[in-house]
Amino acid sequence: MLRAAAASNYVAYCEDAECLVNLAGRYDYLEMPYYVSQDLEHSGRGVRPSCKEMLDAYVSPLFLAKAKLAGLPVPEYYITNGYFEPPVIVDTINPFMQRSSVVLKNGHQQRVAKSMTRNYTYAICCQELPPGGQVKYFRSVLGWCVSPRFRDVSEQVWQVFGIPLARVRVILLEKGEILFSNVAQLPFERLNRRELAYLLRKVEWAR
Amino acid sequence: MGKIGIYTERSTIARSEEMAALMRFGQVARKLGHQVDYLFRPDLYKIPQYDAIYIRALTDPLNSAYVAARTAELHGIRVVDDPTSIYICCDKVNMYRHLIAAGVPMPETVFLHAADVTPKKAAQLFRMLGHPLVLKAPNSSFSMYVERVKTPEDFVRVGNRFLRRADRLVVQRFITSEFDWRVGVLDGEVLFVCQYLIPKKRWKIVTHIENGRTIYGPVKGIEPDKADPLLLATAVQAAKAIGHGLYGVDLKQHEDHFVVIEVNDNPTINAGEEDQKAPYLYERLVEYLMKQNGHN
Repeated sequence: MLRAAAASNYVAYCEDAECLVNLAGRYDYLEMPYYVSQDLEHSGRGVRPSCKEMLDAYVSPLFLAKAKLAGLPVPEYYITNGYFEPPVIVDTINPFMQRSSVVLKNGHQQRVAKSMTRNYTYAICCQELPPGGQVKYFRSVLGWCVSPRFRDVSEQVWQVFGIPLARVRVILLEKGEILFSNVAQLPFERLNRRELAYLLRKVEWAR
Repeated sequence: MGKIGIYTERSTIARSEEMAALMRFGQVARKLGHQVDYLFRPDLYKIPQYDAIYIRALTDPLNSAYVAARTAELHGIRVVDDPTSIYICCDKVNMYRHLIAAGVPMPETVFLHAADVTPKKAAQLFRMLGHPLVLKAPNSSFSMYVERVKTPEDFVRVGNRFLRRADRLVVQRFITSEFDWRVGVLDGEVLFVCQYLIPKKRWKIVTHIENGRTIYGPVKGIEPDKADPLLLATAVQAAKAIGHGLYGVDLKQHEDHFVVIEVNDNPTINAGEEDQKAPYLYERLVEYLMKQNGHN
């Protein structure tokens, strides 16, 4: 299975989406899976995610802006050079590091800001954590999730962002509402048995 | 009257020439009846309030200038530079692919993977492209991560260093010259023409030396109507291969024709340099930004 995926550069055809899908699960800028999508785009073949979709998904404020414009609920957020007030989720915006940090209490802001802005050189994106809000993660595989609780939101991530494999971060509010917060890598090699079985029903490896 | 937001960062306005160019842009826009505000990182949320955004900051798809560009695009606001131009130009592999597809004259170019960075492949490339070769990391700017290599050992050493930045590399035939042409192109038309002179004992217009200093060559402006029409036509062809925004096209003269070295998004526009022989540069930028907003 892994060999088939690797041999096809993790590119498969997804009948439901009627397009090629890049299933590497790691869509970092200028890394090989990014170039796999770029190669397909230049050959005139549509692929999800496209290079632009990768950037929209992995650059935190763009993920939030795009989700909001698509009508998905997101937390209040702002971009700053370093100043923020907890409780927040902090994401980096810079070419040299991709990190997140949940800061719940006062007293750690300066250390976190200095580290995540690389000594105040780059920006950070801060998402406000509403009272009682909990940070949760789930794994999305072509818009499906093992846990039924997250299947609807998983489908929305796939539809809006076109990221076939993702580790999705959400904020769960006290009344059960879910706020979209971020997506990150879910490498193909780390899929579990059920996720892999679902995926195999949905795709055919490209040759 | 329209509202223009200039998105900038403190590092972009560190030199007086950079600051003066932004001031000049602001003066011209106000004279043409528009409101101009400077936007910094914490102001990014204000972008939807503007009719147009002019980005004057170091662009990279992973930094805040791209966030500004893409946010504007998502809200249907005209922006220079548009995000597509940024992500094409900031990745030289993507940029050269667009130039090749459009048949733009350029030095012979080969794209490499990690597995190609070997002495054997180096020897093959030296035979094919001559000595020395120019190696480029895809995400290099201001001539950083662009190096000449003269031996297979150099090729492997530099190539492996560049591979820490990206999973592909660009190799080109080296073309010698005493200066680079820089042609500014806006919406498919020539905006300014300059010669970037190469400092003595160097081979690039910008050289970063080990003590942290950066050596720039002087900039000589040329009136566009006095420049070689073939130079201008080649630059416009290259810019159109990327898009319809603002670009700085670098070219070298090679025998009786011109070859494109690269196309830059967010080209440098410094007061007294790029604008020295382009008196209506700022007016044209403002008009372009406001064109589709009915504020022309």
